[in-house]
Amino acid sequence: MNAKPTLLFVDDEERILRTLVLAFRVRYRVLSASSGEEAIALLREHQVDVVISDQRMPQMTGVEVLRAAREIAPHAMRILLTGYAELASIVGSINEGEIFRYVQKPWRLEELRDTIAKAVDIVRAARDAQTAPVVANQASAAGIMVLDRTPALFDLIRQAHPEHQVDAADTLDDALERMARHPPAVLVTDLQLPEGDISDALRLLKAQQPELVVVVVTAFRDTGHLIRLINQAQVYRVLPRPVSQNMLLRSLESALKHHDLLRERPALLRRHSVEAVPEAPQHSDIQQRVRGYLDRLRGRTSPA
Amino acid sequence: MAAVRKTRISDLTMRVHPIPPGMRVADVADLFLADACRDLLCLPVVQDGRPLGVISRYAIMRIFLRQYGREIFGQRPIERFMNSAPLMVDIDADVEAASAWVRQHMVLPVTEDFIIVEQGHYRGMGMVTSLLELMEHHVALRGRALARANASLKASQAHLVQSEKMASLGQMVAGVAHEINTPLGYVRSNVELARDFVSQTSSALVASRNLIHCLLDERASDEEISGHLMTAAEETESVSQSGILEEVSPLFDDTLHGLEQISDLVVNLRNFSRLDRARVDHVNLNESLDSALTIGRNLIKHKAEVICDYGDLPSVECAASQINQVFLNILTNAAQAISDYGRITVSTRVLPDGDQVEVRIRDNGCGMPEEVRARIFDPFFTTKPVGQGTGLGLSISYQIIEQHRGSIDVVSTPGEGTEFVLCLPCRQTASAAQNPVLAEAAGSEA
Repeated sequence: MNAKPTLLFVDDEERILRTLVLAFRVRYRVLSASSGEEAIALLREHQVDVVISDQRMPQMTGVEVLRAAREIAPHAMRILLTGYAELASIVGSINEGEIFRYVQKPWRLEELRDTIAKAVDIVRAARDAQTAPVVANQASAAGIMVLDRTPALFDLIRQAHPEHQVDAADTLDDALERMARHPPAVLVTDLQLPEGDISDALRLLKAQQPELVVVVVTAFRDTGHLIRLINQAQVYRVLPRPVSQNMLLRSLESALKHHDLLRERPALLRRHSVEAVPEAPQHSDIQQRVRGYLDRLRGRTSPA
Repeated sequence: MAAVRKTRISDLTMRVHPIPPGMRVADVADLFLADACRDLLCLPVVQDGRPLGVISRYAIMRIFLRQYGREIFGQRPIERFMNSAPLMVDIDADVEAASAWVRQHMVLPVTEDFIIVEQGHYRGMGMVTSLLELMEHHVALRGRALARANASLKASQAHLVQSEKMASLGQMVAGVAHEINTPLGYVRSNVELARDFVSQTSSALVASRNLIHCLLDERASDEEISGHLMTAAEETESVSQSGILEEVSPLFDDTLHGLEQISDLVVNLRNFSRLDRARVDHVNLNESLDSALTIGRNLIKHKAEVICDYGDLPSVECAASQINQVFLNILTNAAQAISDYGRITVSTRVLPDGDQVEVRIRDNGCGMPEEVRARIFDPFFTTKPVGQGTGLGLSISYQIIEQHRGSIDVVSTPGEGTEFVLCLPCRQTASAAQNPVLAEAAGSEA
């Protein structure tokens, strides 16, 4: 099947749809829907590679559309294209929509083209991978690293997952040290640690180690920050503090499953590739620490 | 009130030497004539340290005014003539309580002062007039404290009004930003597309021009001509294949439409804030409603269909930015009362008397029970979750309408909806136009 890849745009403003169709129809087969219901019908009918949805629409929000897309067409990449960054919609897009990118209106056509092209590449590669044999599944007792100032989360997780190796650290350095020795499957972390905000470190980590599934637990509510966590760190879940115990355990469960899936099908890893991080010289010490960790990790695991 | 300096009864005490009950009337009369007693209305009669009564200058005068009074009564002991139930105040008594008690029991005209005692023992005399003076001073002090408290209350109220304004402004700005982002999104994209189209078509134009040059050139070889012809054909074909030519015109239509929308929003934003207008203006409330609807569109459009039924209105004299704020507040409340998708009806008319305008804003949202309805104009009353409403919106709206000598009423049925009915006089009376509150409120916007 070497037909043009299929994009589905969802927006309640027809002019948005018109310009997007015009911009993409040369390279792609472009479907458009002006409501969530219409989008879902199209998803059932066609094999869609990338869904790009607006958030604020009457009746059905973008997050709801993308959540439905996750069920109907799990292979399609999901992108939210919106002019209104509400905290709830961003958190929803991460936790429910598991989106690939959060793009803000007004978009730059070049950037949107790049983002969509990347998403399409990933879907295509993953689809090939589906048919490829599953990599021998070394039944790994995947580890969990809990990085937080207080041990409460660690205690909770250790109790709930006795079968996994659960490790705790209260500083980034400590965590990197331990992770170099036992690379974890899932990292559960706050963003605010004694050494400050570790978002940059997460971005670097994820850029180098896409199989690491990151669950962020945070009390802060800066929307711009969360958007960067999606686009540049591909965090798997964001849970608001104070954390609901159920929500945490459920997220952890699905994070572990997700990690297994990634190990089985390495091509899927690309679904979580991140945007190139703009160099942030002010955090160079964090970068250095993360690089140091990655170097140690490579030294340890590369012969395998 | 704590600031009032406490004066005690002891500060009022005059050390008046008391007289014994057996003193003769004539001697008492002489005492009254003495310089030391010139200011005293009366003298205390004390025995063994305990006050028995007072004898007033007035009582002595009454005795002596009788015929042969001095001769008949002069030698008698004073206790026969004294007032044996004098006003007595304990030295530790509270000044206010004492003054209230004295005022209640004193006899007019004031002919006697009061005795100050400590556990029943005579301590001195107190003048009724100085007690009253003291009270007057207290009242003045309290008045000043009240004025201060009032001023600070006013300041904090102004502060609250300001923060409510900022909160609704923030909401409004976020909403308008979103409204602008949508057209901006496709306008930008269209312009970028148009730029691509231009570069594609320009290469076709260049190829065609080259072909024409070549055709007009006598020295051109057939090969050259066919080469140019090929290129031109390819280029123009690719342009027409791309469908650009058919798309360009609707693309520009959309772009212009988007720009129109953006300028609409900006104009409305300016009309809404009225920063460039006089404080008190003559405005058409239909236009005010339209601009409030535009500003609130982001909040309203996903919640309700808006039906406007405007009457032909005369202009209304008002502080337009404030009235706009009221309309926006009621409209957004209406949208918030609707859970899924409903209807908001806005109607205006001139009342039959011709000098009032009525605005009705009705929603078919959740409505509210009587106990909520009765309190919606109370400051800080809110049914919204913490952080979503200051509880000041409607209370400020109420004040604004009141300052305009208008009225604001609300009718609501749970499950059916709510209707706000506002009436505004077309003309503010002279006094209202100079209404300091109105002027002040309008001034606070600058």
